[in-house]
Amino acid sequence: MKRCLLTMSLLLAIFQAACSGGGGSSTLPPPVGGFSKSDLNGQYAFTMVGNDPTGNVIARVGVFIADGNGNIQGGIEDVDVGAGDETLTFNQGTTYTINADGRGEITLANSTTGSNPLIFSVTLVSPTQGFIVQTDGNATTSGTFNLQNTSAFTTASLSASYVFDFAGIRPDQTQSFLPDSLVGQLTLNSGALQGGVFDENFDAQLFGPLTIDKTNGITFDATNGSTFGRGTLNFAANGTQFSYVFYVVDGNRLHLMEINSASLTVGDAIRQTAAPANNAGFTGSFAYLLAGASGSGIDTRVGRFTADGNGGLAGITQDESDNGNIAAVPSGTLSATTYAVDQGFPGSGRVTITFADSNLSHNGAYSFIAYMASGTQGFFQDVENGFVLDGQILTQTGGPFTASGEAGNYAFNYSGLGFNNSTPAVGEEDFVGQLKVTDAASNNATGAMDFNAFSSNTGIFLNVGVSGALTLGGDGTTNTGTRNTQSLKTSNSPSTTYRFITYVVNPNTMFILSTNQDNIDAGSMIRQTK
Amino acid sequence: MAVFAGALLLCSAAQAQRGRSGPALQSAAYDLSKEQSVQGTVLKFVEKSGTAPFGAHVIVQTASGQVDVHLGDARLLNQHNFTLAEGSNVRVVGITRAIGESNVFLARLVQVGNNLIAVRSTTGIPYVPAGIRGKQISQAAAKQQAGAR
Repeated sequence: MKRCLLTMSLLLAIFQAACSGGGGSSTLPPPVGGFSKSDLNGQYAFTMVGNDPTGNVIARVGVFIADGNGNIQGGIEDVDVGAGDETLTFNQGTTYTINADGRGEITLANSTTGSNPLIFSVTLVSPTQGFIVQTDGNATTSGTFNLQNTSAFTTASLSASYVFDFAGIRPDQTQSFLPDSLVGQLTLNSGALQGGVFDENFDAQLFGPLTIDKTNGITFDATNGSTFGRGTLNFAANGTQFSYVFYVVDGNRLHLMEINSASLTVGDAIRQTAAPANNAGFTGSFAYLLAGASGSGIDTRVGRFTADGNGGLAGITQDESDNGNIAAVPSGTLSATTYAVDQGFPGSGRVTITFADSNLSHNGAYSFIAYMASGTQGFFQDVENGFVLDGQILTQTGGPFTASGEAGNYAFNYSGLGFNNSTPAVGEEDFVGQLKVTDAASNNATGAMDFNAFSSNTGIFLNVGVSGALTLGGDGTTNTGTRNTQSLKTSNSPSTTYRFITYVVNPNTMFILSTNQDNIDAGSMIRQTK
Repeated sequence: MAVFAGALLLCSAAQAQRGRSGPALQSAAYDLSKEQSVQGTVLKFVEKSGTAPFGAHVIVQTASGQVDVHLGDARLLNQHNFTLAEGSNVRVVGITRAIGESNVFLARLVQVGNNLIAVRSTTGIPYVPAGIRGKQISQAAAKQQAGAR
């Protein structure tokens, strides 16, 4: 995939004629913000997932080193383009740019890229983290990168409990691929696994909670462990062995990718600090974002609820694009609005959550499993009958939300599946950019973005200006009032307007879910620090 | 995934699906006992429909009328060179489900002539286009059978 699976000429040949997005670059206003190339300085661990133009799933995790002066000083990656994991070293001598708005481009070269290095568009949230999308045409992948703490490249630094979320694909008995999601918790002590528990939702079949054996654990790579924080995690459950390569961000986060398997799942593990021990420990307002599959195809969900500390839920709203079919909870009467912190696995942070809508719950109640790293964040798996989704859950704080409170500069990333509105073409699409939001009542958002849209004839769109409005229809913390929305109209020709439902998580973070029928996308916006 | 006719159609729809983590603890929403077989002539095939659920659709003229069949991700059909030419005879196995305000026939198996393709699993989840990975799986499956998982 990444990489050079396909040349650009082949890629363009595959694309169909008309496109929904229009041409490439457009004239942009001066970027707004305080970033420069000196803000990308150090070792960054990245994780990315996406597709090649044929729909083949691709994933990569690794490290790049930026010198703060526009030069890449090497790095490493583990990449699976369909033939299993490969470990490749990035060369020194490629470059990067960072504009004032935090947007920029990174080029990376390895032994497979020849004279055509990999190209990535990035937007910095801060000097320590950002969004990244591959924009070289070989594939479209997106994800995040985080500044590494190299002092954490020891098993002692990782002696803790972690919750994890791995998502991807796995073959069934016919050797055809289906969506797979694993969420859970495990405990490490000097590299040795002390046990854990996880839930797997494969092909809308639920396996779990399953106990992780107290064997195996993590091992740092003898060659690249001390320099890049690279290692492997092995664990077993119910007679099955799981293997992942990881890159340490710091003691609080690892990026992981499955290896040595026909399956390919990718995700993060985050340190667990104070998992809720009972229902009283899971209290307050929460927002969540999920993406995955349903019987209709690709599915995205975003929502919020308030947990009362006693097993009850209130203030429930959820918005969904089920392969283009938009549904909003509540539609009918809500019932079975409950949650329970699992007492069967004490300390695991496992929470089950359900609610039913009399108009929408055709398959039984909406059902979820959370593994909380603390009372404020965790990973979220959708286990409703016939659905395979996963994502994150965060406490919703700082409300009621207002236009003035949300004004500022944001880095954003959203991804999903796009459908060409003129041709049969369909393909993954990934967007990364920056948006300046003011407190004006309308037309309050301007910015720019780069994106891949494999359903279009152009494929890659760079430096596309966007404008629109963030409209707060309610305070976003209850199930009353209209939904908060966001629009992004591109400045290229022909123009496209991307419309979203927005859930404000806190004054710095928003979840966004596309309501365009041709764009089944979801993502997030995070306030920039400069 | 395209296989010769008969292989999958003759399989019991209720094949026990064992995951890598053991037997499933909960069945999915797709009810195999409610599957129907639709047979007729291809009136129209579109890789992308104008209404949800998006994806490939085929309009089948049956003895009792026209049926709009959702086939899932068109890239899967393309990867297996599976075509649905107008006028060809087609047989589809699937279920009818309410999606939004419409009833949609969700195909699991599609057969044209001697070519059969499974576009959904027995739980009703559309298969993912696998491309290169699909070609590698035989080797991976062999490893798994050898005990490496």
